[in-house]
Amino acid sequence: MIFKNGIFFQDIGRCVAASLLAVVVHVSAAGATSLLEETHLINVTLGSDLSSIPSSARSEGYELSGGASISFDDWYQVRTPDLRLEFLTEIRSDLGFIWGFGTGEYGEKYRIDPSLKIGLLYTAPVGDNGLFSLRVTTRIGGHLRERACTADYGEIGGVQRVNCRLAATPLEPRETLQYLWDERPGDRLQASVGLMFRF
Amino acid sequence: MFTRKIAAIAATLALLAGAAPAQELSFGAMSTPPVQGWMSSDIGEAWSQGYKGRGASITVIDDFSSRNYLAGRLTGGWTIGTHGVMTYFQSALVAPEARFRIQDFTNTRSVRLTRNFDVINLSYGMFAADGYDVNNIWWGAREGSVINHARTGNALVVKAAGNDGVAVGTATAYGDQDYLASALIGTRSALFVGALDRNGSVEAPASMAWYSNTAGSDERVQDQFLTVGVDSSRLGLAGTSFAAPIISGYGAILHSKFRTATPTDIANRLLETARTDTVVNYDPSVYGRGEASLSRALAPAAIR
Repeated sequence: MIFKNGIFFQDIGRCVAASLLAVVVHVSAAGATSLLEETHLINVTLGSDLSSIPSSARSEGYELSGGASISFDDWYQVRTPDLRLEFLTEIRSDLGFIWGFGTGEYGEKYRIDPSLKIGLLYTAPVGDNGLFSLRVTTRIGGHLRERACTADYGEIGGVQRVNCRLAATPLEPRETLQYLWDERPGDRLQASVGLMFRF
Repeated sequence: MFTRKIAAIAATLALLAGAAPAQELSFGAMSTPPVQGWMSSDIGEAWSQGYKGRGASITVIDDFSSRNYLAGRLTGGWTIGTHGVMTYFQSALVAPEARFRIQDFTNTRSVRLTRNFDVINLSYGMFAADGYDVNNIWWGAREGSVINHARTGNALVVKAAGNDGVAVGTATAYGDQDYLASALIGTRSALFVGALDRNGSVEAPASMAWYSNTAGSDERVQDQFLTVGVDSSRLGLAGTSFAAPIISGYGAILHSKFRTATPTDIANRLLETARTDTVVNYDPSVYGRGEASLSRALAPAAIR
């Protein structure tokens, strides 16, 4: 239940953030300085690969039974964007630790959970001018989840929980709940191999 | 009393006693046909998601065996068949996943209900000289059962309004009257369906087709009367016979959404959500409750 509601990942996010803070506080000043010197910001993004799903729904809508228009624009508009930062901390000259986090994205009828990204980058020279690289990362959290609406169908159907987007379709109201977004991030496990030659 | 198919092309038909039960058909076994040009845009929207009538059973009582053929453009090209083939095929195009039962005019057995949600399509009338008391008519088993299903609310009974240009339940210019319509007035789950000249919209409202019967001044009829577009330029057919199957299909589609709703609930829903802003000079004595709107019938009244 905790997992289903997404609190699990939020809690992980909070724990990780607290742990990172604790690490930063407790390391020695020299160690911290060294760590910071070896750490580089390698990527900053606003939004995630899943952000396009609610965004694409914003232009849609339908009429209520009385004729009033319902627009999805407000429901799926981004209230808080997902800020994603990615860092690389050098462990050795040929090995780096990739880490980062996403703040999560929120709209009225959806959310993308906060996320934590970790991974490794290994490099090895190939000849005099070549460089082989292997990068493996995983993202924990970052699920897209959609909130249900409460629809009033009057005498024929009463008040029911429904998928906001599908409330006016021929699908049974309770069945629409099966189509609530529950998407994993596309980068939950990524591996890439690179080979670069300078000439 | 004689049966008259409610098409612009009227045909005489002798009633013969029959013993065969209603024949079961399943259109859903075929691939789902596309939205047709004569259909309201509402249907296309409804088809984008959903079951298209699954769980409902539509019984079409009509002429399936005579040699009187009609030609219509139900699927773009010309389809030739009896009046019953046309009305069955039309409702099957609207609600392809419903189960269908056809009962030929020659079969006068009572209409038995199925275990599904029952819709009975009546694109015909029972005519006799004006002046009889409808409460004293000795109905045969078939019409008697249909009237009873409408009275008890056990089936959604969809009745073509008629093509005499008069109010439902009144005498025609020929001095006869559709007593089947009269008997259904005031019942719980019967709908009368009139024909508009096309599918209406706010920008281009539709008018009542010149031939269509109207709701008239009887408020009971007005509260049971709906209209839908019968675009003869696209359909190649005219008559309220081809309005009723659309509403039968709508009823089946509504049931696929509101599975616990009764036939009376479905009838009321279609009536309550009918539009009055898509017809020219809306008047309840002409249009009844207005033009049926499937999309509004499917939509909630409020959502948050």
